[in-house]
Amino acid sequence: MQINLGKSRGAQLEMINQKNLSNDYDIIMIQEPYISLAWIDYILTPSNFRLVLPDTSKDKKKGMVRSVIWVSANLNTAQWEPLGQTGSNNLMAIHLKIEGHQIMLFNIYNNCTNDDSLTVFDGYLKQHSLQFLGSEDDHVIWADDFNRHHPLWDDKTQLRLFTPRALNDANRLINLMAEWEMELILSKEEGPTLHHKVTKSLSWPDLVLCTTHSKTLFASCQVKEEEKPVHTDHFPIAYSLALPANASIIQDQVSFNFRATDWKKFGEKLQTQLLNQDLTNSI
Amino acid sequence: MKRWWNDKLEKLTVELKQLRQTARSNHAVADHPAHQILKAAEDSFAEAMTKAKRDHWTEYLENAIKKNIWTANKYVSEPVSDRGKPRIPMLRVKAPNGNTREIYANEDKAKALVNSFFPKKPAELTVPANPIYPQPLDKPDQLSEERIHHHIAKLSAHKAPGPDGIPNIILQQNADIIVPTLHWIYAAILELGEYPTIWSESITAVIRKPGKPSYDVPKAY
Repeated sequence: MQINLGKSRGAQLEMINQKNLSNDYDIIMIQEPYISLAWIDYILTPSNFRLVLPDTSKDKKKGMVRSVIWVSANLNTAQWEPLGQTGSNNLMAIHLKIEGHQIMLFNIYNNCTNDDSLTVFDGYLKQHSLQFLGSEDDHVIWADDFNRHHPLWDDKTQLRLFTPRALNDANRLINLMAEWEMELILSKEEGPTLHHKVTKSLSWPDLVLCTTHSKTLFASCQVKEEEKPVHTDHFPIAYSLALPANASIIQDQVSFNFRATDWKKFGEKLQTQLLNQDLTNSI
Repeated sequence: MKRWWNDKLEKLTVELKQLRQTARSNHAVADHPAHQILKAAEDSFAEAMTKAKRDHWTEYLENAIKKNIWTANKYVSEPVSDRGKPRIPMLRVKAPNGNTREIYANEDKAKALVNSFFPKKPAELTVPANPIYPQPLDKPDQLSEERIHHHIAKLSAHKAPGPDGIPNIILQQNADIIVPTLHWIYAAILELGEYPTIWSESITAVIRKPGKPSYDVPKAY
């Protein structure tokens, strides 16, 4: 799942308490999480998830962290590796290795006022692509809020969005998509991904992209507006990948609350069990 | 779900979901009342969450004065965390030749931590070649059931159990039933001088030392 939480505390609190979150989702990519000023790199995380964030999260010169990923504890840690050395607090990645498939997941936030994240992202791809792109089993997914508008992904009738400047800004992204052979997965028919708080207008700034040959991996990709947490104007996008569903899931170990034991019953049972044991045999 | 979450909040989320659906079907009408209703419901829900979180903490603290005041103190004074599950990050380990090695795989991290927790014996022994030891003590007295009772009573009740998964509270609550059997086993061990190797196995939980600048070295655990 991917969602922009609009830096809202309410949104974050609702997210981390969602019922069945770790049954429904294995990986949640958050853009603009809520950040408490007192504890910059402690971003509230649901109980059954692991938080990964850029290595530069403490570096004030790099700005606040705007891209983090929650990975469910159901996923074996041997099957994924956080890649925090992205050089930007707006870019976080994890590398999944599941049954011969290697999937590079990028979570990208790009501020609408500049292209800084795009520049860093471009540089990162150029420098590291050999490590995660090479064979047919290597897949790349971009989960992003680039804050760019273009008829390619926005509703064509929303002409107010396509100012010459907006189209020019979007071109940089389109070039990047072409260069890395990325295709749009989220169909615009799924509905808009943003309902602007103030203007009440609808738009499609959140995108899901993948390498052309990886399209078949996607079993579904939907906008889940009814799961939108409070006080963010972006809607969650949920997708599922068709991967061999085997050992990747770790079963929770059963644990007991011994403080709530009925000791009388327990004692009776233990007594009978002990009587049935023949302890005179040699071991 | 976090501990402060409650049924009332859960009920509110169900109501919100319905309001969101109504708002969705009225996207096209910007001034439809559904949007206003949703906005108001979201505001009061956010407020309810903040209140529930604060009330839960206040209630805990009030009860803690009687019961868990030391635990409460720990919550307040320990460094904050993200409240999620931890993961041991990449570890840097110095190799004997002075180079630093980066460790990523889980098995290798476990090995690095074991080496740090249980250092190898030094190559050269500092014990003199022909030490003179004092006279060994006499063989202990016959083991009595009272002594087993005495030691079981001294155990701390809810410590994490070992590989067998049996917590001490079970021994304490059922001492009368189980001590005769244990007495047999322990007496035989003393008599025969045999100790089951499986009893030497233990579980070591890896815990961060609080307040370290960086957790990429085994010594920080």
